[in-house]
Amino acid sequence: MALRRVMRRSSITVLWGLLLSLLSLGCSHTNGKEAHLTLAVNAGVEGDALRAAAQDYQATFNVEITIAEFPYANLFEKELIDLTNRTGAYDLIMLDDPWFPRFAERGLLTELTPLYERRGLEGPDDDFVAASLALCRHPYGTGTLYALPYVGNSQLFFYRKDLFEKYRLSPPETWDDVLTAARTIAEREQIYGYVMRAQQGNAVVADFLPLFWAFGAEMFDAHGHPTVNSPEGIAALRMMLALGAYAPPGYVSFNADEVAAHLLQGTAAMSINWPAWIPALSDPAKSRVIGKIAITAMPGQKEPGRAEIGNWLIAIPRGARDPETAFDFLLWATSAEQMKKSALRGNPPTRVSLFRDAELVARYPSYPVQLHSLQTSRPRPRTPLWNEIENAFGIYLTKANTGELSPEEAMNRANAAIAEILQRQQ
Amino acid sequence: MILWRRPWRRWVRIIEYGAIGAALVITLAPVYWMVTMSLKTEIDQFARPPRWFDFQPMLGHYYETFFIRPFGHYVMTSALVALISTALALTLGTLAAYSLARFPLRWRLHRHLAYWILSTRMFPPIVTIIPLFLMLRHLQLLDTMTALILVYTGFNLPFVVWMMRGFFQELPVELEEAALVDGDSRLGMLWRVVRPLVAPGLAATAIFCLITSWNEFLFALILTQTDASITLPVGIAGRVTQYEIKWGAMSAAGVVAMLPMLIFAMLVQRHLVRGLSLGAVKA
Repeated sequence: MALRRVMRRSSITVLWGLLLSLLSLGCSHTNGKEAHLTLAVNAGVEGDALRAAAQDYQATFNVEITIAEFPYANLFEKELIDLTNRTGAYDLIMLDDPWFPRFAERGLLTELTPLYERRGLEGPDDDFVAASLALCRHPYGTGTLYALPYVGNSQLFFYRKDLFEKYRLSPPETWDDVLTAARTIAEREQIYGYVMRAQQGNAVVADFLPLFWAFGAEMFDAHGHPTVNSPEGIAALRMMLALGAYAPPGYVSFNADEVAAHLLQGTAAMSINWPAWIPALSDPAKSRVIGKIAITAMPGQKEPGRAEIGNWLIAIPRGARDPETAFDFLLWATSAEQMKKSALRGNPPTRVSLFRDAELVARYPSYPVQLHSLQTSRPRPRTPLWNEIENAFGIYLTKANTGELSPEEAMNRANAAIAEILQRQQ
Repeated sequence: MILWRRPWRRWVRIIEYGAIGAALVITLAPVYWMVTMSLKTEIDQFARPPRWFDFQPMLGHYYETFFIRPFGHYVMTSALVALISTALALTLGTLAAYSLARFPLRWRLHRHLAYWILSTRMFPPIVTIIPLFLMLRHLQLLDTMTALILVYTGFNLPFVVWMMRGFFQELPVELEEAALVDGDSRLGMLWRVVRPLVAPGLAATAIFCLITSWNEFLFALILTQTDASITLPVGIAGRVTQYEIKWGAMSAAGVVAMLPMLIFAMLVQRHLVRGLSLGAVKA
């Protein structure tokens, strides 16, 4: 009896021991490589390209690379927590450009110029699109270099050229043209004239800013005080609501996904969207409008049209274990040769030469338009508080779109809310 | 035949089946939607009016999710974490529950102890996330399965203790005394006499622990960093990309995430039903 008991007891112990050793096996990193890098990337086509690049890099160089992929919605907080706590978990991080001032301001990123100098280089070459490289400096455009641009997104205007031809409309150059076209098409076809992202937060602000700028409005005056409730700002919001009358029901909750679905299903005629959707337009598994959509630069109004820029940057956290190896990879990944591969994987480049590359233009005929759009694009206001400001602004824009607030009321309240955010931080 | 002689009974039956049917439709419609989404091309996913039945099914999303992306690996991680943390929580929790049920302490300390254990479930888990993050970083356990196992065990423990304490309290203590009189040790008696009696309770508790650990998202998201420890829910959330939501991939992974719990629930169903009716017959 006693023996059996002992045996049973020991067999349970052995089982636990086995499980625990399995666990430790699963956790240990074994590598024969000299150096090791961990990259935090965005889940999606941008991160996929960097993942693929990392595999190529590992095959050629004596460096092992681990990819940490996170949903867009969580990447920012994830990186902020890890960098603020200096966990040293990541050697390179991908950043959406509006986040950059927050990281740079807090001193969480490694300066790149000394790393260039150690390699006998002055800094990034002239091939980078100036608007993209400007995002990587803090303060904007002129300050210290903390990142390099990897994916050159900027907004584009999509419209149904078959319907424009049918009703003899010329490609929209102003928002008034857009409104006229939306009305014409909505009245004569069984589809919606315009579709936009009006979901609270990032989405609605992203789709509104090009209108806002085109009407001559500015978010801040020269002293940094918010001015969203200027007459120009209110006129821009009125235009947004006028377009909303031709948008599908429920557009107030739309994000890029729903907007693209309407375009691809052929149920809406025009919209602003991002280059990520261009490949889908000609994919028979996704699109009912193959060959019917044209892409053009952002319409203007009082001012020439300017798209919002939305680049993915790559930076090295301050205090990274091995900044030299990380920088070698960064230089390699943003070189023209490697960025071309990334472009072939579906990401717009940040280099002028690639937008003009014959092979790429043959594959992506919209590249000339994209380059123009990127070069004339505008960044979202460069403030470390942008996430909070965008959120507050977005709430009131959405309330105007639902009809809960009048355009004046919405802009007044947004202005007050933004002023409060700025005040709180002083 | 008696049924037809009493027409009101027939109506009761119809209403009964109607109610069952409605409940089934409500609970199964989202599952049906998810399964069909995983088999549709994007063009069919967004078709208006929706295509409920007439679409060309294809396995492309499954192929992409499990062969091109490392979702197979996430499934393994999730399974290991869920199984080990459940086993740990059950072992530790059951022993603790037995002690609390059987060994009264002075000044009713055993009851205070039980409430103290329960109190760890009274605050929203999110408030512990930053302290946990810092502690695990200090222990160099960030981005390991061990971290997730420890955390999930900790969160499941109070539940196990309270569930099992109730079951032990309902057991007649005489059975245990008989076993001890016959010369068995305390642990031996627990294993041979008590365990079979509380098996239904163990099954119900185990399934709850498994489901919570398998589906947990928040802690996994913060405490994991690379593929070494990313679990299935975090992987699935990663299909919501900046500009596009990959509904096909999310649904395919969702279907696969659902299956193990479904199978496990079917396996322990017998015990579950017995567990639920145990108290009823005793009276």
